[in-house]
Amino acid sequence: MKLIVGAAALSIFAVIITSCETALKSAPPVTAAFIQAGRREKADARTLEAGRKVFLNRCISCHALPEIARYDSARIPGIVSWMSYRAHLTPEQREALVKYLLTVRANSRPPGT
Amino acid sequence: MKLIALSLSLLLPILAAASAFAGSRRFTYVYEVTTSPPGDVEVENWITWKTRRPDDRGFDQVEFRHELEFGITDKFQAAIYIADWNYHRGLSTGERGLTLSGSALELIYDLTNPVADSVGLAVYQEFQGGYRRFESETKLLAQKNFGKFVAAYNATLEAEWEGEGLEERQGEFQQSLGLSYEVSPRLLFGAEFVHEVAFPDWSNTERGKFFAGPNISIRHRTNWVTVTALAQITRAGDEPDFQLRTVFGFSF
Ligand code: HEC
Repeated sequence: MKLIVGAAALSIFAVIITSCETALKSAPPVTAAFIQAGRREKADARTLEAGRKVFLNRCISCHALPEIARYDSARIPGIVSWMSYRAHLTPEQREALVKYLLTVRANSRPPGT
Repeated sequence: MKLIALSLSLLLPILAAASAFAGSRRFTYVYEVTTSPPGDVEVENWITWKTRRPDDRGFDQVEFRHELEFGITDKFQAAIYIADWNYHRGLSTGERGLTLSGSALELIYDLTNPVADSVGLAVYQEFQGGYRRFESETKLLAQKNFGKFVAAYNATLEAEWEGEGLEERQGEFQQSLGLSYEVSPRLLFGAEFVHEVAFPDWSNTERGKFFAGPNISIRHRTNWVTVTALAQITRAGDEPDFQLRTVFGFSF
């Protein structure tokens, strides 16, 4: 009993410390600067928001949110079609997700590269 | 009994063929907050082997559950337990043999997201009916994903009515905690902890029972299997000292 309460308390504590940081790193929110850095993708805020929602809701049930910055932009559409069958994505959701992930990728590059 | 076995043997291949693979589970005793995507239909098969009770050394029971899961909206999932049945032997179970314990309806509604929000929450309601038996299970599911690490906690209130006029009542409070680490999307390790307190007749409280043990989850293509081994830490006479639960989903 004490063990469970202790463990639960510990997890809640850990949650508070790390929660904001993890989501922001793998799935950055759609801000003006974020859209600007990914302007080559020609995606509007609504599409990017929709893509982020798909990413956060559909890509977490089997594994951790992938760190998209690790993948080459050319591989991103392929990864999304590979996984979209598993995540039951509609063509629109798939497209929004690709745009969002490409924008995440563009944002992760240091400026000037 | 033969009829049950026959209908199950007809049902199983159909279930297997309809199988998909949306949410591969990380745990087998603990529920996760994430639900199946809308339009998804998934089959999960459960096998739980329970053995040796402190009061009945010869006790052995194998429980089977065949579950059909439907994603309805982004936040809402329904599931049907088509059949829960078991094979048992041992002094405390009466005659050895097969028992069909019932069917159930399960509903899960997501409130918050375990990655984006500070804690992911969902509510769970299950109704189970069987021969002279009705059961309701209400759970609060909580979960937090920290990168490759997931912590999930369930609090469950269970009410059971049994007997000819359903006049025997009993309640139970259960808490469970699951911790899981993803080595790769194909291989995850973790541990599960279960704590139960029963209230026979809803009046007196029995001593709490506590179980703990490791788990592993493996995914291959569109198939997955998760196994948990639980040992009883307390010495409750009517609970198994050891249980092993396997849940798997597969498709062709
Ligand atoms: C139904 C379970 C499931 C869902 C949902 C899912 N994945 Fe996967 N994912 C897997 C499995 C299993 C693997 C391991 C490779 C394999 O076996 O195919 C994987 C691998 C990956 C990898 C490669 C990781 C590596 O090894 O480098 C990426 C990237 C990925 N998934 C992204 C996604 C994205 C994006 C989504 C949401 C659209 C998603 N996944 C949804 C099951 C899933």
